[in-house]
Amino acid sequence: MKPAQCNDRRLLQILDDTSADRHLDTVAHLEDCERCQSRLVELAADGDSWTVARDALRDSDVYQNRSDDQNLEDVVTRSLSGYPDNGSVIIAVDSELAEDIPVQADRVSLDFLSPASHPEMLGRVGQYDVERLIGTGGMGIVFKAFDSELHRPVAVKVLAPHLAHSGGARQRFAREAQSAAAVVHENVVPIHYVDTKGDLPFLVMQYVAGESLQARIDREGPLGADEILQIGIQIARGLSAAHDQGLVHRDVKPGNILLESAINRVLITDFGLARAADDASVTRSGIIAGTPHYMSPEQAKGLPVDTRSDLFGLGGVLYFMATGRPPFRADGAIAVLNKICSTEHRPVDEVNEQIPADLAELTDDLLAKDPAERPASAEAIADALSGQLKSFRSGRPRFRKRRKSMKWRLGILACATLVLASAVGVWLLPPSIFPFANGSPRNVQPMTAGPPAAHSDGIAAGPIQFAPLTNANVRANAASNFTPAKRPEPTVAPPIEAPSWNQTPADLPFAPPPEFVSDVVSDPMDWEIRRQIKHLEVEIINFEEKWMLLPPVSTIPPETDPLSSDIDELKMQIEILEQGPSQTPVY
Amino acid sequence: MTIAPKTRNSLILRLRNRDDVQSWREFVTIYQPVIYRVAKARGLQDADAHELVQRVLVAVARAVDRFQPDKNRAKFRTWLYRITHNEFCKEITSSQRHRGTGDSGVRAILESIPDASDSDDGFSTEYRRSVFRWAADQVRPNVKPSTWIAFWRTSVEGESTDSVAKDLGLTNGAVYIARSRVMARLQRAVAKFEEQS
Repeated sequence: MKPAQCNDRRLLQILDDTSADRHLDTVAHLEDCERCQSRLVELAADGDSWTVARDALRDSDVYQNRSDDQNLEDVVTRSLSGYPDNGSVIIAVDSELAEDIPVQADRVSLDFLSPASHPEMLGRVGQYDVERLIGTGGMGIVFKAFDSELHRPVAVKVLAPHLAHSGGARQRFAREAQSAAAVVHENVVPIHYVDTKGDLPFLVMQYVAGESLQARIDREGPLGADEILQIGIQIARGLSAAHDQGLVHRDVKPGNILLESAINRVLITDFGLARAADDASVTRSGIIAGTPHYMSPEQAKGLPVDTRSDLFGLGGVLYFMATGRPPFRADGAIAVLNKICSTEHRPVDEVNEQIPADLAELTDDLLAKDPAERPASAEAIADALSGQLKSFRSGRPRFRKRRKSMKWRLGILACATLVLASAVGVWLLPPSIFPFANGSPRNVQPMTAGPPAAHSDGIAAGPIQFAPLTNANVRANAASNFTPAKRPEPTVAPPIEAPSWNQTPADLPFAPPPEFVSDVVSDPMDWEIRRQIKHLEVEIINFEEKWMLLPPVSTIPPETDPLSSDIDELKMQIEILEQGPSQTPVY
Repeated sequence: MTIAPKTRNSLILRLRNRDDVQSWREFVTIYQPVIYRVAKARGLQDADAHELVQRVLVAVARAVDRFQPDKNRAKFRTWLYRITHNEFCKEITSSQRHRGTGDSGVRAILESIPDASDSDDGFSTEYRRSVFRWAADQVRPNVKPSTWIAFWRTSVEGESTDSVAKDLGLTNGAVYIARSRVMARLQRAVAKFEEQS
C-alpha cells in the first residue's frame, strides 16, 4: 500500500470519523510519520487542554466515584491477561463495535488487492471490489466487498499473514473452507468461493446485514425465553446440518452467531475455521488465541473433539442469551479454561428467574463436562427446543424452585442496614452540620457511588448527596409512590458502579441483587424489606421538611471573638456592596 | 416556570426550577469538587471543607432566583466564587470560636485569605478540571475499553506510546489515534457543557 502524504485534513477526518477503517492509508502513514503523530495530538486539543485533562484525571478525588478507578484497573488487568471478550471474533457483519481503532489493520498488507476500479473502493481481488473493512480478529480481516459479476455484496475474509505463512494453517484453511462450503443450510453462512493460491488465502461468503449475537446482547441485555428458544432452534439446526457432514465447528460462541436484521434469521459463521487458527496460533505464541469462554472441557484439555464439543458451545450460547454472560468467567484465559474443566456453572435460572425449567435443564445438560452425558445430537436439541417453544407459547411454563444463594440475601441485608444506618444518622445529627440528609428519595441507593454514607457509629458523614429540596418538592416526593428500584437519571451519575450485567463479576459478594434494579419482585421477603425502606424514606422526608422550616443556619449570630466577627462583617458588607443587589445572596 | 425542552437554557436558569433534578445533578457534579478543592487548598480540614461545600450549595439554592444573567454583570462562576468566599470567611471565624485561638491568630488567618476581588484563587482551574472529569464520565462508556486505556496510560499516566501499544496489542499509530480521539471527544463534551452553562 502506498503511504499517504502528510495531510492535516485526513488527520482531522480520523479524529472526527467514527471509522478509521476507511482511512487505512492514513493509519499506515501515522505508523512511521512522527510529524503526523504529534500533529494528530495537536489537532485533538491544544497543549493546555492536554495538561488540564491530565491533571484533572490523574487526581482522584473524594467526590470521584472510587469504583471508576477500580473499574479501570479491572479493565486493564483483564485486557493484559488476555480477557478481551471479542478477541478472536471475526464478524462478517456491520458491527457496532467495529467503529473504534483499527486493531492490527495495518499489519495486514493490502498488496494482494489489485488497483480499485472505483475511487471509493480500497482495491480489488478477483471479481470482488473491496469496499471497506468490517472486522478484524485473530484469524484475519473481513472486508465488505461487491461481486461485480453477480452484482451482490459479499464478505471477503482474508487469512492473517502470520497464519498464512504457516503451511499447515493454509492447508487447513483451504480444506475447512471447502468443507464448510459444502454445508448448505439456511442457518449457515454460505461460502461462495475460496482462493488459496495467492499470497493470502481468502474466502468469499454471503454478506449478512445485521449484527452478531454478542453485539446484540452487549447492547440490549439478556433475551426473553421466547427469543432464546427461537434463536437456539436455528443454531441447533445449522449445527445439525454441519454435523451430518462430519464437520465440527469448534468455536460456537455468540460472536459467531449472526442475526440478520431484516428477518428473524440466524446464521452460524466461521465454520471449522477455528481449527486452522488453533494450530498456527498455538505454535506461534504458545498460548491459545482468542477467548476460550465457550470452549468445551475436552477442547480445553487438548483431547480429541467431535460434534459433542459443539453442543457444549451451544449450551454456552444459550446460557449467554439467558444471562448476558458466559457460563464460566475468570481473569485470564488460563483461569477460564481451568474453570471450564473443574467448576460447575451457576444454573441459568438462578441467574435469571424468568428462564423456564426445561430450558435451564437443557442448558445444564449441554454444559455437562463429560461429552457422553450431553444430549445425543444437535438435531435432538433442535427438536427439544421446538417442543419447549410450543409449550412456552401455549401454556404456563414450568419454573424450577428458586434456589437463591446466600450471597444475594446478604446483599439485600447490607442494603437495608445501610439505609437504616443513614436514617438513624440523620435523626441524631444536629441540623446545623447536616443541612441535607443524604436520604433524599432519589439518592437512596446504598450501593451507589461516593464515599461511605454512614460510619460505624451510625453518624452520616462525608460529602452529602445534595438534592435541592424545597417544601414543594419534598411534599411531591412524599406523595409520590416511591419505589426504591427507581434509578436516577443515568447521564450525570455514570452507570459505572452498577456494572452492566455482562461485566459483573459473578462472585462479587455484595453485588446489588437484581431485585433492586429491576422491577421484578416475587419474594415476600423482598417486599418486606422494601416496605421497611419505604417507611424509612418517609421518616427522612419528614425530617427534611422539619429542617426546612428552621431558620437558615447562617442567620444565627455566631458568638465569635468580637474583633474577628467585626472584620468578617465588614468584609462581607464590602462584598455585598460590590456585588450589587441582584446577585447578592441574602443570608 | 416552564422551559421548552429544545432550548436548553443556561445552567443557572435551569437551576431555578427546583424539580429539574437533572440540572441540579449536573451542577452538583461539576461544582461540588471545585468548592471542596478550593476549600482544602485554603487549608480547611476535610470535614470543614465538606461542611463548606454544603453551605455553599444551600446558599446557591436560596439565592439562585435572584441571579440575573447579564453580560455586564458577573458570570455565574464569579458569583459562585463569591458565595464560596463568603462562606469560607464565615467558616473560618466560627471555627476559630471553637478552637478559642487568640486574637492575633485569628487576624493572621483572616489576613491570609486572598481578597475576593483580585484573584479567584484556583477556582477557575479547579472548575476546568472538574468539567474534564465530568466529560470523562460521559465519554468513557462510549469508547472501547482498549481505546480508553490507550488514552489513559499515554495521556494521564504519561507512559510511552511504544509500551502501551505493546501491552494492548495495538500499533503505535492506533495508540495515537486512540488517545487523540478520546481527547477530541472530551473536548467536544467540555465545549457542549460550556455552551449550556
